[in-house]
Amino acid sequence: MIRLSRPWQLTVGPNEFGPKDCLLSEFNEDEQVSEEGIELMRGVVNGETRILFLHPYPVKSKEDLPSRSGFLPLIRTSHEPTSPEGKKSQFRQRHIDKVFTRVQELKGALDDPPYVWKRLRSAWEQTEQEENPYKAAIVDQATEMIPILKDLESRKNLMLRRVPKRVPINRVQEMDRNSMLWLIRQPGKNIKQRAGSEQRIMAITRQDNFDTLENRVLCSYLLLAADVAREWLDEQNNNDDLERIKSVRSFLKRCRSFYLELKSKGVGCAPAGETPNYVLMEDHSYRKVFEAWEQLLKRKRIFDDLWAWQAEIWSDFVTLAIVMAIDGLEYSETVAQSPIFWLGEAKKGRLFVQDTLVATFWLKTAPEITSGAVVEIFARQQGSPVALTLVRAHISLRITPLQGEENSKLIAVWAPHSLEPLNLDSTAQEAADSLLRANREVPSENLQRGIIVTPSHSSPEEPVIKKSKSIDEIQLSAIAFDASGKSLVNGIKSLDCIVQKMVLEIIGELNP
Amino acid sequence: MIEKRICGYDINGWRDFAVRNIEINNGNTLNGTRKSEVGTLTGVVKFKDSHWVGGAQASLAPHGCGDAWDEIGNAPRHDVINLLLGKIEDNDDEALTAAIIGATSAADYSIFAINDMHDSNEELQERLINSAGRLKHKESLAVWRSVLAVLYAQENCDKVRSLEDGSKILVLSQTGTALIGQKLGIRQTNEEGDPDKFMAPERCHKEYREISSEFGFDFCAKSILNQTGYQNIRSYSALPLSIRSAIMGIEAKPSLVRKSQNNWEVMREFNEVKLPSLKIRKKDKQWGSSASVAILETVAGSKISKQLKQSIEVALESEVILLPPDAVARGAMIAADRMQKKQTVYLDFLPKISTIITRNAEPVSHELIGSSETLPAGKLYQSQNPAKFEVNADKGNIDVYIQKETAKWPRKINCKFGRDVTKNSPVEVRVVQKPAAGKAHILLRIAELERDFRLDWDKAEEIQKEWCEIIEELKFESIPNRLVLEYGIEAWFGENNHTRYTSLSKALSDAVSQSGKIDWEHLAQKMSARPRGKYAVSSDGEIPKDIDHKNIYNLKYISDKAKKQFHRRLNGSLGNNEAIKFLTWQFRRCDKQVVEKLIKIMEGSFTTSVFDGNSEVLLFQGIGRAAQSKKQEERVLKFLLNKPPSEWRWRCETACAAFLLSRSKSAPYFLDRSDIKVMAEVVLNEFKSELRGQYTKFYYAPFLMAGLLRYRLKEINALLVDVDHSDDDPIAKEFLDAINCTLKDFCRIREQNKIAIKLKNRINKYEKKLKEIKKYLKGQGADQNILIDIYNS
Repeated sequence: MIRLSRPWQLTVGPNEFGPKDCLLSEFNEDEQVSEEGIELMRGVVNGETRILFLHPYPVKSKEDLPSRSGFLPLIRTSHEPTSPEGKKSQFRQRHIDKVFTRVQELKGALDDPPYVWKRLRSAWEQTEQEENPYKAAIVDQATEMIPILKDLESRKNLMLRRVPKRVPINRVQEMDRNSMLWLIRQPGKNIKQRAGSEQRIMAITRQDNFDTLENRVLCSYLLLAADVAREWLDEQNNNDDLERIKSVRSFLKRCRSFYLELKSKGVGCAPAGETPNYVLMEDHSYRKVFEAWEQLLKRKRIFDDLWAWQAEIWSDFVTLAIVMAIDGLEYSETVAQSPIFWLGEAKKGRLFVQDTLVATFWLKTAPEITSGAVVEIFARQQGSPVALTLVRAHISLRITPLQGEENSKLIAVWAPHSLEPLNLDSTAQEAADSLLRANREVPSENLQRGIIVTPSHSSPEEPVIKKSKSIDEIQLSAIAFDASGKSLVNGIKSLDCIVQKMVLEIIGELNP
Repeated sequence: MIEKRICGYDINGWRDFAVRNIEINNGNTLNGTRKSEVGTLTGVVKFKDSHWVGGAQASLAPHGCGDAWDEIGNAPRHDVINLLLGKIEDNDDEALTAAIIGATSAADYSIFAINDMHDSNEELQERLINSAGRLKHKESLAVWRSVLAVLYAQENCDKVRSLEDGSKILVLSQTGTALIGQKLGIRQTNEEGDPDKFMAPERCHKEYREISSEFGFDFCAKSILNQTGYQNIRSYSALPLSIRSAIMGIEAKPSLVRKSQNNWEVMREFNEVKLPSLKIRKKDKQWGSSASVAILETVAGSKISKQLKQSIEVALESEVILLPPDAVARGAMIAADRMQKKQTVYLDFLPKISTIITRNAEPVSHELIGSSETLPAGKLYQSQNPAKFEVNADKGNIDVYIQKETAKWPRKINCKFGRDVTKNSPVEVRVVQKPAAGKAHILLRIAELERDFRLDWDKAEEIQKEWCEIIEELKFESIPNRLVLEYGIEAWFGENNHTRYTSLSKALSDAVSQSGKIDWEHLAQKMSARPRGKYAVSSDGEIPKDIDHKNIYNLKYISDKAKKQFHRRLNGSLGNNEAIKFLTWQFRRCDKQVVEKLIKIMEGSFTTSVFDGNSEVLLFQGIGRAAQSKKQEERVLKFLLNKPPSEWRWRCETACAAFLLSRSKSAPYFLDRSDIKVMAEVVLNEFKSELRGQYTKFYYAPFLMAGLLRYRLKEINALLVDVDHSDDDPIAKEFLDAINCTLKDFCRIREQNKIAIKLKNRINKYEKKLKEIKKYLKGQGADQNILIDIYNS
């Protein structure tokens, strides 16, 4: 097994990962790996199957298997953190949230699959204009749950409970063993005497009781939702005009008032992990409440997961950006697109699953002309070409001419992610060197170009772009930007330019 | 505030549409109608070996598109909606659910369009609605395409909007296999929740026609595929986009086709589909022209739909309104909106379902769902008058015959109760069904068990006979079964663990080996013994199959000896009549000559003093048991009927007649009305004489009364009391009165302070049987084994 601090690295990396490293390992298929991680790609070189493995970021500063130390820990506070480490941690969390939100926006775009990339682009571009607060689960709930809370306010489930109570004799309807025993113990010869001066005896009465399991769950949910909504509002700059902020604020108010109403009716709170009863599973509104409650309860665990798999989210983000760049070309037409299956919640940083052939585009040289080339975009390939396996690029483009005898050409795309920003100059040069070596080893695969897309961690308005010195037709560009605001908008614009230029150049070479 | 999410689906596999009232943009949900065309010749694809994805994503997916796409292109990764919709056996509902999500998800109220054809099966309706249920839709409904087209036209075409209550509209639909027509009515509804003057389409019975089988999309597909190299393709949905568009008559751009990994080909345009001219049958034309307006609904693009419209107009010689391709989906959205507002979506009829019940002792067909009614869609229909009958005591199951209009043959459903009912209990069969919402639930309710049993049509036994044939066969159920007393091996060899008991086999072999006098009394007792309710010889004269030759020989040998003994007795030898008893308890196995002799003695043509006094009982009952030929039976009956009723003795003539009528296949046919009258008088006399008595001489009167019921073999409606007493059989009426008197008398006896236990047991026994006979007289279904029950009591 080889530890790698950069994917393209030619030498063996450190034994212990630090914050400057990408947490990657490469190993053979035969090796037993007990460390936590996920497979990014797999390819055969000289008869041996090589697997590229990504390890999670530690939630604490130091963790084992593989040993990682010196990392920024995940610190969660509901208030503004005071320690510098806490501040840094919170800053990172917001960054992660933003990348995650960008990937999440794919779901809305998927509403119209043929135009998914255009819709996604417009969603991403909107972040520049209004600095919309990121969309957390609570924002969705604020819009979804208000009608349901209204419904429940009007018809809270209640239970008739049998309570023993002293009742005037003429009102007695039912007596049980205990009330009989009580009656026997009273002094007196007949019931009238036993009933005493108040003429009341112990009997069973039936009383409304709101303290049912479903109401307890509702109560717990309201309490938790109010807390989460307040936290979210605290994070936003108090910009009351924004629709999202308004809706969350009114949701918060409703949660609080409803919670107080339930409290006054004697409803307790349900502990987390309560087994749902029939009402919670089958009643439409109560079921929604239960699901929303579970979602909020899980949010901490989900966030741990996101923190650990930041690099994975980034990798999906880069894939989407690359596909969008090709889709943005003037005469491009989708030939095929692998279905995107949306997972209910993020698992190991992934929100959706897709086949390795992400999309295939037909790039025409002119609208009515049927010549041109086919561009295929791959991610996480299982049997990737040798050259790509050598440079360990798990995202790639393949350009095939429609006419002519020329072979197809490849572009390698890396999405390196580390907790500290990469030095783009040295990075570009190192990656170019590895490309050169791979191209010399397998010249038939035509891998001469590469793109590095990495987070800048500082949200600059303009992305940082570096190019390597060109040796033997090798071209490599590195770009760093972030997933929100101007940085995102300008970043994807620049990435578009880089990708499109490279693709068009290749098409030019293939169709002379 | 987001409105309730409503959605209309038109998933037909040729060109799918979905329309809903919300728009999702940048993750925000907004109000606003959104129409989405899912794709042409749609399919669902499986990827990562576990997830199914449908809709537009599947249309774009390379999965299953051929080997040029590597492993992804493998065929099993692909399923076609067309096939999926037709699948019944392997319910791959996950794929169907994926197709619905793919079209558009997140709806509260959804309507699915289904083809208005005879073979639109109820399973498909059920599967669509179940899939919607899995997607947590609050309410969903399957609605016929024709209805949805009318709903769309009502909102968008002035001509249709102005139609008045009671007018007819012809809807022509192009489906995969044919061009079909459905004539719908327009009716003003006055259901609760409907606004004033609310018009709803009404789907009536038998207004469906297949106009032409040449105008389906299959035809278009073939004509395009002949121009390409894809003639024998299994799934249309894996075809390149431009071919798919051309099949559906949509303007298509050239598209790329992958030939191998690095080899792509541009697919050029195709010649348009040319539809042949439409030939319409004369009666179809007449049928169509009775409608005020004709509309044409097809999902095909303008290249096909315009041709189709023209040729229909030429053939029908009248104007046809062409609806846009997404009209059905938009109609579905209108329907979903109506459903959400609790308004009438449309009116539908239910396919007729019938069962068989007994009315006036005759089985008749009973409609659980009638043919005349139409009812609002989505409303639950419950049979207005359920089929009512009774299940007899000690029964653990019941057979119910069901005929469905949609099925070719009726079926017999056996319903098991899980335990026996303790007393005769009323049963009710009813049907619960929603129009176009899957199968009908046929429910059977038994009052005693207080629960419903669901009769499973699918698992029932199909009976390949016409409905009326079954009814005809069931007619004979109003006649008591012939009395057949069974034989049993126990009578021959004794019961297990019963050593003290000498079996018939032993008695016979003893008698054979014995040289001296034979103990006829012992033998007669063995022969008439009935261990476990079974005789040695059955009342039809048969013996168990397991009896070996030796025993048979012994029986024959001893029987011969008995016959000799009988003749000796006739010639004046002293002794008893036990040998005759031995012979006559062999029922029809008894020697014919012996019976002949006995009959002669009875008739008085042979004088002997053998059967004097008490022995006369043996004579009459022996003849009743042993008479075997039709001739003998007729002779005996004739002799008996010649006697005036007052001279009949309960243990002699009455018993003999009762035996004959109940045990013989042919005896009831020798009687006629006047004979019945005579016997009825006897029965009534005996009933009367026992009133206020001890009921010691009663046994044969009910036996004969029940035996007389077998006269129905000859005259099916004999001895029947009508429900409204307009057409009563006088004898039956008298019988009924007599039974009622006796039952009253039973009550009187019970009320007495001191009552002998024997008498009490006796009347309890008779009471049950008499009630059963009463049911026969009233023509209600009763226990068919009444004769054996009476015999056993």
